[in-house]
Amino acid sequence: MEVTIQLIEKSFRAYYRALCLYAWDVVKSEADAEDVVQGVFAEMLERCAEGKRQEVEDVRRYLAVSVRNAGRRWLRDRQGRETGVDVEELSAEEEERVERAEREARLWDWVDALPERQREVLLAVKQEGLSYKEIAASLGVSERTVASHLRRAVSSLRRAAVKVYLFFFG
Amino acid sequence: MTKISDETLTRYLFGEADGEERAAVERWAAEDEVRRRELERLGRQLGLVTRRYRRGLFDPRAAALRLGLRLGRRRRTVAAWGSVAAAVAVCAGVWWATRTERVTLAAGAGEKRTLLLPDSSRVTLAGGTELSYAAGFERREVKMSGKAYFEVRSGDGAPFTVSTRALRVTALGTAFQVETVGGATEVSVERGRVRVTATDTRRDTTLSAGMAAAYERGEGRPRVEKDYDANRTSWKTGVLRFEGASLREVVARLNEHYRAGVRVPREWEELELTATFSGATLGEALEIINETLDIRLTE
Repeated sequence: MEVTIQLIEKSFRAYYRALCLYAWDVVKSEADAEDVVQGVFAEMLERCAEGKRQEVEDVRRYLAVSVRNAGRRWLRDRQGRETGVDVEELSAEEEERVERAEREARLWDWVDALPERQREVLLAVKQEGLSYKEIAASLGVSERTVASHLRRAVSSLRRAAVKVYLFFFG
Repeated sequence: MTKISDETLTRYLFGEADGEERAAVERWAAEDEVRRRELERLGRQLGLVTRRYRRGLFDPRAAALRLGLRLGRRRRTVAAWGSVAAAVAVCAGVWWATRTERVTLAAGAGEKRTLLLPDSSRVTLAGGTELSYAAGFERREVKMSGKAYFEVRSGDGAPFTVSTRALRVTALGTAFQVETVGGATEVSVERGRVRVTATDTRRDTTLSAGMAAAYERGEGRPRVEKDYDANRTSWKTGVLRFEGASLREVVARLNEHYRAGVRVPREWEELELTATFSGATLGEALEIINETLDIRLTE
């Protein structure tokens, strides 16, 4: 497959978030993770702009491997860590991480798309570990309202599962 | 068969269920493999998504803009996003690049937004469009990707410039549309005149009302499109015009405009229609077509 601007844009839309989440696992800092991933795309774009012909067999695998290598180089340059050499294939364990990052990215998209209040309440329960009662008090609403925001979030997640499935296989 | 309410299921998932409720949910799940799996999946997904989710982090749209501008410049330019306000639908944020503060306007998928720029020019953004300009707007210059319709205020003397990856479009007072499709950019002029300049070769051409041009980097010179499609701007104007068009073309355009799936039986495909639909609903448009051609199309 020839790498064109269109292909880069398309894969950027499809994989940017997932690659950042994967890079976060590698470099352990979200700002550095974004820099690493953007660096990989910037390099592809630069080669494209210079008119150099690039061929990749599987763009998803190419990106995942590039991010892994760029992340390791980043750790080496910044922290002087011995991180080994560049690889051409991901290990099974790393492939697993990439897949989890992809699922996580789709779920982040889902949370982004939730109505403000549903998202707020969802994060308050799961990230801050608050009870319905505590959330109700802090938002100045009834427990029933909290319950109904969460119920709607859950039913949207049940529907989203179908969409995510179609996204991959449809 | 056990039945449980969504309410109870939700309480279970968020650790709010009491012992009795928990037992009921577990009985419900044990009865059916599909239920058991879904319950497990929901729990796992809620755990995964909230593990390290942070609003606005790793936003591909913000990053795309940042990356687009970094190209061909110093590699490690640090750009930071200020508060990206509002939700998925629409966001307007403030953006700093090197030394310039930039204002970003965007329309979310399926949205249409009409906004006034600081010079009182009007811009309508189609869904998924992003546009930015230097705060203060001293030079009338915007960068964009997506589809936008501009009604430029004249009389200031200063040219109004729209830049995309492929083209620079310069206008005095006029109304025109710019649309990026992949690496290509299409410009259609409704009123007045604009000059389009290829960003790579700097070759240019001038378009007047009713003309359109398209360009992708590497093509050399913007090419003027002969069969200008007046319906290209229908998403903005709400007006669809057909002159002796085949029913196949008409319905394809209606489907695009109304996001509908009207089907045309083969024997009617080549029927010809001349009509103007102005602000009509899909039902009204079909009714007019049916009456004109004596056929039966349905939504």
